[in-house]
Amino acid sequence: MKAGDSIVFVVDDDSSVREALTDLIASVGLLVEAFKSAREFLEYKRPDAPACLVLDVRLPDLSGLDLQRELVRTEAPIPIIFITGHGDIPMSVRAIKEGAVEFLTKPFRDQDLLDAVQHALETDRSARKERARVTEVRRRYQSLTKREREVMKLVVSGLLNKQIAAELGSSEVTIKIHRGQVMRKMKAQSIVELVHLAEKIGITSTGLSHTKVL
Amino acid sequence: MQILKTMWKPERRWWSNPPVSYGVAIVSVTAALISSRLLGRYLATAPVSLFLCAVMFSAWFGGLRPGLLATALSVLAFAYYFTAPVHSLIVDIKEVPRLLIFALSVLFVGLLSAAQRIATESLRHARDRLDGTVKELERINQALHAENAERNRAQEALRESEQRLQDVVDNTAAVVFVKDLELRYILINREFERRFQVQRDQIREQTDFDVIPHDVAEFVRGHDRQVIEAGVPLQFEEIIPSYEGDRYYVAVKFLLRERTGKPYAVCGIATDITERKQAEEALRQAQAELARVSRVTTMEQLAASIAHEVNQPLAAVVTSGNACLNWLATSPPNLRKARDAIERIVRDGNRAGDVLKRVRALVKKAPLTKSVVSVNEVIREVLALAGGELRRHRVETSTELDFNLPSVMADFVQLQQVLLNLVMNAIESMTTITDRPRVLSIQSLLHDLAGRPAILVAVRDSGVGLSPEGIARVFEGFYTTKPEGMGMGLWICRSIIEAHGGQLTAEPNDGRGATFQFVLPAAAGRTA
Repeated sequence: MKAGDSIVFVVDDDSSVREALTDLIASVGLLVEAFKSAREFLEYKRPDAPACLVLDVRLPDLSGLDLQRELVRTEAPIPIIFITGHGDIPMSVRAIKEGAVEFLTKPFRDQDLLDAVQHALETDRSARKERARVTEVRRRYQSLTKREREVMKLVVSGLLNKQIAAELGSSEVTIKIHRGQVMRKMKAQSIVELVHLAEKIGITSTGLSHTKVL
Repeated sequence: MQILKTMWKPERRWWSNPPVSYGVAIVSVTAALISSRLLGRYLATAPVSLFLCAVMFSAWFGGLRPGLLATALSVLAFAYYFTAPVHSLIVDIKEVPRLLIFALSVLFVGLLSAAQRIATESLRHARDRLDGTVKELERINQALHAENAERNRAQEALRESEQRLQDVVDNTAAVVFVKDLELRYILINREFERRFQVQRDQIREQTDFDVIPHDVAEFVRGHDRQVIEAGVPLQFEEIIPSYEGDRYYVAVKFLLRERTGKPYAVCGIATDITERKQAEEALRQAQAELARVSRVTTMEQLAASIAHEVNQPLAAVVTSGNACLNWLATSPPNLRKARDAIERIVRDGNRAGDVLKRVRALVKKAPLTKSVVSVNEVIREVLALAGGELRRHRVETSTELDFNLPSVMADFVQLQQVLLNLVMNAIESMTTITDRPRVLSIQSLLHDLAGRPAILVAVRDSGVGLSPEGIARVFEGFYTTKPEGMGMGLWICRSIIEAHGGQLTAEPNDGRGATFQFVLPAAAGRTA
């Protein structure tokens, strides 16, 4: 596939609209998969690829907004472009708050939809990259021993080896060895990079705020 | 006095009878004769003075004439028995003086006795008359006493009856008044006093102008005069301000008449119906609001659903068109995909058309519950329903209804919906008008439709009117001049009227505003 495996999902209960949208998206060279209900989409096993969802607000059974909430709940994030026959402002505000990238009211210009789709895919692509990076960092962090994690926490807090040794009740030499292990396992070239990695996986220095920091 | 004119009748005594009186004269003279003759045998001379006694007695007893009879008989007996020659009526010459003296004495005694009797008699008569008069006077006096007592009793009864009446009138919640024919107050009840803050002794001789504002007084007095002219009880609704604010009354007014039938006053009994009026008004407004809400929701739901139904295939048509263009723009053009897209366009275009056809058919074929309907009745109902809206927007209403119209066979509710829609549209078209009166006029008249009798109903407003383009398109679906409108109302109205075999049309007025009118065929052979 030209666009690098990215895929667009369409959920609309109206067959005319569904078919037309599917064909339009396909006509610009995107991979597209259509569903006639929210339930059907939830049951579908999504491939691991950049994707976005074109979703009709008014659906029988489970509505578009219900589906959005369900996706947030199951931590399967996907950028959503809402389309609606008669969207009102509270409804669109709610949708955007929940993370929708676009809210299009019918009749909309098809180019607007295609632009929104491209934008959503781009968003998802970078989000996926970010998620992948976080996963990798977390994996590296998992490989640290308990003592190494303690040392890392204090290092990113900006403490010197001597201070860390005092904090943990160990010798400066031992701390130096642990610190070398942390840098190697986390694949960090510098303290600055280590701090960035720690931030990504949510390790902060706040827990040690009582310690005197130089 | 009648009773004094009654003649006094003297009592007649049995002895006053003339035969008895004459009989007594004869007997007494005979008795005197016999006594004198018998005594004459033993005495030196016969006691002829007994005849005097007989005459005196006869005259006393019987009056003048029996007295004269006794006198004559005594003279004859004297001449026969006691003058020589005895036993003969011939009197000896020398006895003549004696006879004459006797006759004169007897006559004198008789006359005197008779005169005395007459005097006694008349005295007795006078006394009797006096007695009668006294009795009569006593009777009259008693009668007068009785009459006086009777009058007192009657006056007491009248006072009691008046008091009872006043109590009744004072204790009613109604306002009661009596005015003379010049419309000056004669009597008012306590409720009147309370409401208008006046005293009954102050209001005598006053008129309505002294009690209520001038224009209201004119209004009320107009009603009073109608009653005086008509001569029969009439009922009016009057709005009269008092310290409690404007109050609605139902007043029954009628004439009070003397026994001869001549009217002398106007009486009014007015009941306060303000609370009832307010309740009615609230009910009417609630009904109008309900009708409006249900109309709006029905129309909005229907319109929204139709809009959605049409919007979907139209959106699909546009999208498929774009997809088709994209397929044609690739190199080489993907003709198979382009063809698929065009087939979808055709299919969806037809689908959109079908939706409109279906809705139209739905309205047309909706099962009508037709019955005999009077369009005037529909108009009255709708004006009642829209009353709140009309007042809220200060729209004047005028109706010109022909009450001899034939009825129509129609679904009352649908007809009501159509008319209500036209009326609401008319009101809306006038809400921005400030430089001229907002007037809604509704007319019903006999018309013809394809040569058959029909009823025409015209709804005319003085609103913003219709442009030529508006006239052409006003009955199309989704055409609207209203910011919030869906443009379905008149389209549905026309469908309803056509389903009844009629026509709904619109035209601009000569002056300002527009007229919407519909014609419905008359029901055969019936009148509303």
